Amino acid sequence: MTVDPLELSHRKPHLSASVPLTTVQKLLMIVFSAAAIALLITHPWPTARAFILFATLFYVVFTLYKIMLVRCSLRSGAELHISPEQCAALSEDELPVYSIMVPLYREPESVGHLVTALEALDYPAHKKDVQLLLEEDDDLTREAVAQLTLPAGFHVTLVPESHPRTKPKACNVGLAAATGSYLVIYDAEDRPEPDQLRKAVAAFKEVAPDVICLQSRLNFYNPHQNLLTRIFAAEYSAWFDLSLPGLSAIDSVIPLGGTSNHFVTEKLRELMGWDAYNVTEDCDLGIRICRAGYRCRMLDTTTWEEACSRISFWIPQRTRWFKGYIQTYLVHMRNPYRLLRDMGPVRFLHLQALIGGVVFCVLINPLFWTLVTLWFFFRLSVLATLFPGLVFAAGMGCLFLGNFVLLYIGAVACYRRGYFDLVKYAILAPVYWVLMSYSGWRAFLQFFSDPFKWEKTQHGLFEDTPEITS
Amino acid sequence: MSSAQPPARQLVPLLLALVFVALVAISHTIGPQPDAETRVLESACRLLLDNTTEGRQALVGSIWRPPVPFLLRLPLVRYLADEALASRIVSVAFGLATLGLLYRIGGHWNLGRLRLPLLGALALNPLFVHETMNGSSRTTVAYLTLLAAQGLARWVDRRSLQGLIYAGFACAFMIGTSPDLLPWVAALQILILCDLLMRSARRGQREAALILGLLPAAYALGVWCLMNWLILGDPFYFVRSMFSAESRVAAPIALASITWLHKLAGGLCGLALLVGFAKRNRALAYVAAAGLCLLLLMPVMARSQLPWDFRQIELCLTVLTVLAAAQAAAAAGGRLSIERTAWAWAPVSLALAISWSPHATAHPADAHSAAALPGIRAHVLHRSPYAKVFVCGYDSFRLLRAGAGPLFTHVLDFNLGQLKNDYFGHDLYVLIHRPRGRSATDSVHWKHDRIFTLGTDNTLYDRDWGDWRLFEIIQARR
Repeated sequence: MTVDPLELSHRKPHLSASVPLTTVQKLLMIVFSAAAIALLITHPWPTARAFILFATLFYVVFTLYKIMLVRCSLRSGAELHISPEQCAALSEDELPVYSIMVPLYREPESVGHLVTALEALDYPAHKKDVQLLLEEDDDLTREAVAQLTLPAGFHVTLVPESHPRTKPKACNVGLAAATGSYLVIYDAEDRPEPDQLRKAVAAFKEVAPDVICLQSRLNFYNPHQNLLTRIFAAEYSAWFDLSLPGLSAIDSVIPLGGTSNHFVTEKLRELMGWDAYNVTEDCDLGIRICRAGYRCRMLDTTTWEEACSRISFWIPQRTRWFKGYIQTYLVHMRNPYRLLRDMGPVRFLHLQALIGGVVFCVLINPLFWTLVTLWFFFRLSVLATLFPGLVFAAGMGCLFLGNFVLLYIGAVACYRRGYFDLVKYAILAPVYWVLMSYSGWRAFLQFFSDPFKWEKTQHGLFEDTPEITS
Repeated sequence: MSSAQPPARQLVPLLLALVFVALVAISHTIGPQPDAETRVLESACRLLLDNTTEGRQALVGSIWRPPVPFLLRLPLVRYLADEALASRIVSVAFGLATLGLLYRIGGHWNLGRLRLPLLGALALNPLFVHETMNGSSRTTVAYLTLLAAQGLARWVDRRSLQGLIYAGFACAFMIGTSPDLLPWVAALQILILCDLLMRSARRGQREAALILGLLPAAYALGVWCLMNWLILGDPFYFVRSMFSAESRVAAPIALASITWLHKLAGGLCGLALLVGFAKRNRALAYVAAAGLCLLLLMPVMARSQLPWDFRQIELCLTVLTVLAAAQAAAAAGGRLSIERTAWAWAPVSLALAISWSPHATAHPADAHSAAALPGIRAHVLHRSPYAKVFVCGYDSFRLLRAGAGPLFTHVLDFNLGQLKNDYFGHDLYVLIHRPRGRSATDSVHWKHDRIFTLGTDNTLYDRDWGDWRLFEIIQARR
């Protein structure tokens, strides 16, 4: 099969981030910035008040949206639940070939654990099509793999050296060679629950034919390593155990998580795989699935990952995620009318909140923290003029109630996940939000300076990798 | 997937909207006089919308006038000029929400048609109807009480995290809505704690559940303190009145306020508690205990001689009794067994009892306050064209409903020296309401002990208008 890992950008450039900003978007951005600056100079107070009104309304809506998602996540059927009996009932003949793709880059230390974890998957070895996607020039990982005796069904796929050097490009190479009816992506440090593939097969049999992707829940096997991993675990639990199931429950667009997405291979090929230029190709693919009229659902199974335990690695990882969100948002908003037509008004609004809203939130948070600090410590009366009557009340509501609700959601997620000892750490989330805003701004600036840069997350910092059972 | 709701069910939201509009219209045209506090709330909201310091002080400055009722009315007051309309909308909305929640609870507990007498026990209850129609905040508290008690029941029954969250947030909002339920909120938290201690739990689970249950209420109190520190410079400003002798002496509450009506409600709750123990039904036992706690707290509260709103407590006790009866009916076996039916109909006796009770009469609104204003204005302007009258406390919002104007100024954080400096050259007056009921908790009374009867070193008695007393502030001659 001819491999074109950049097929999407060649055949459907309007859906690819290969061009980060179109000419129209650049023009709009310039006009908007110029208008904002002009207004700030000529009418500083009304402009500032209008912005604060808009931001406050946004905060109110965003907080209510989060609460709604959490409520929806509690509905029965928010996730596809497959019982062990249903898994066991699948005979070997019923199990199709399952492609497992693991892109690896400079991760020689992870290879051994990875092979063990994939071997432990409860699926017939001859029906596993495991591809280790290695970059051609990554001698270290290639050497580490060469030293192992790979089990049956495992093979190495080399990704030719070319621009851009991204995980989605490697995945596209793997997709072309995949032989399975279904396909899943794992990262090097992932430890999926052993029955995950069987659950996915059973779930695909249960759902409607337009469901072409199942997202497993992600969580960490090292949540207790330090404060950062504790709060990170709270955040991940809130996202994968509450927000995404909430979206799944209301049949909305799901921004896929980086790994453990199970696809119907044929449909994924139809969608031309991943956008090789997008640094959050998973999120983008979730939206493209929705735009193409297909659906994603959440699957009640967990893949355990390693939480980034150092701030110096966490910030680049988060920067990449936010940059990817910016890319994704701008790609799909190139033609808002078409997006609206493809997704329908409700999912369109979901996308605005989930992708645009999150980025907007982390970018404007520092401004409001500064205003609050000035008010707390200096009681600047000028601030009162920025928050007239109702805006003041709404702002207070967001500051004291909205923020509390968001951190409380993290605590609830920890409790549901059984991380009882992390509940108290979830309350420290505001400290973490500062890091998020820093990363958000870093991502924003990097989007203009180096849009395709893939800041690789360093894993293997946690030695005590546990055995994972169902 | 298509939503295959029967057509009749699809009409329910429309029907509810119509009922809501009709009730608001009825309450606004022929409904009872608005509650006296309603005027305070709406006037303070207008000041808040005008971005004034007094508005912000009113929002957070007293535990007896908590912030949530202000905030609920704020967006409506902005657009509705009619007096008390915003408050009536809020009270009708929460009245209907309380009934709706009770109906849903009955549905969850498979009470079927037996939900109707339970709903009737509230919907036909004169106390509930009156509070729904008069624009007070009491239906808001009733709704929160029901939510909290139901959350507690779900938590103890099925370890429902959702129940714990609802109970936690309902308690937090109750703190911000009514001080009268503060002791009950504390009792509810103790009940949650008891439940946690009596159950086996995984490591850290008790602590985690406790955090989730207590955190919202603790946070609400913390935010209130913080706002007091930011706006009034004293984190405990809002609770200072609780320790003032003036507030206690003037409180009109006595043990006599506890009537046979409460005892009837208590009897039902007590019976439900016994049934809960006998049937080993934890949810029933805890809900009944929550009702009994409220009843048992009443004498303690009465003895404190603070101006608790016993009407509010009566309403909440009624709601809790109905909930306990609903839970007892759910616990009784058989779809239409005698026991089940008896429990469902039992709270109706409360509604009937309240109908015959003298307590059902409305609290008179302060109709005379506004009438006093022209007299005071004429009197003061006759004395001096450069006069300035500081109207003290939350009662000032009732007096100066349509705004203060140039002659009158609201004062919540009464500071005589500061006023003299700020208005140097004016003839200054202070208008103080008689320290009665919640008026006694205004800062002017705890900052200047017995000011109403004795004045201060710098004030001179001038004249009385009903419950209002005018003092002239003594200054050096210009």
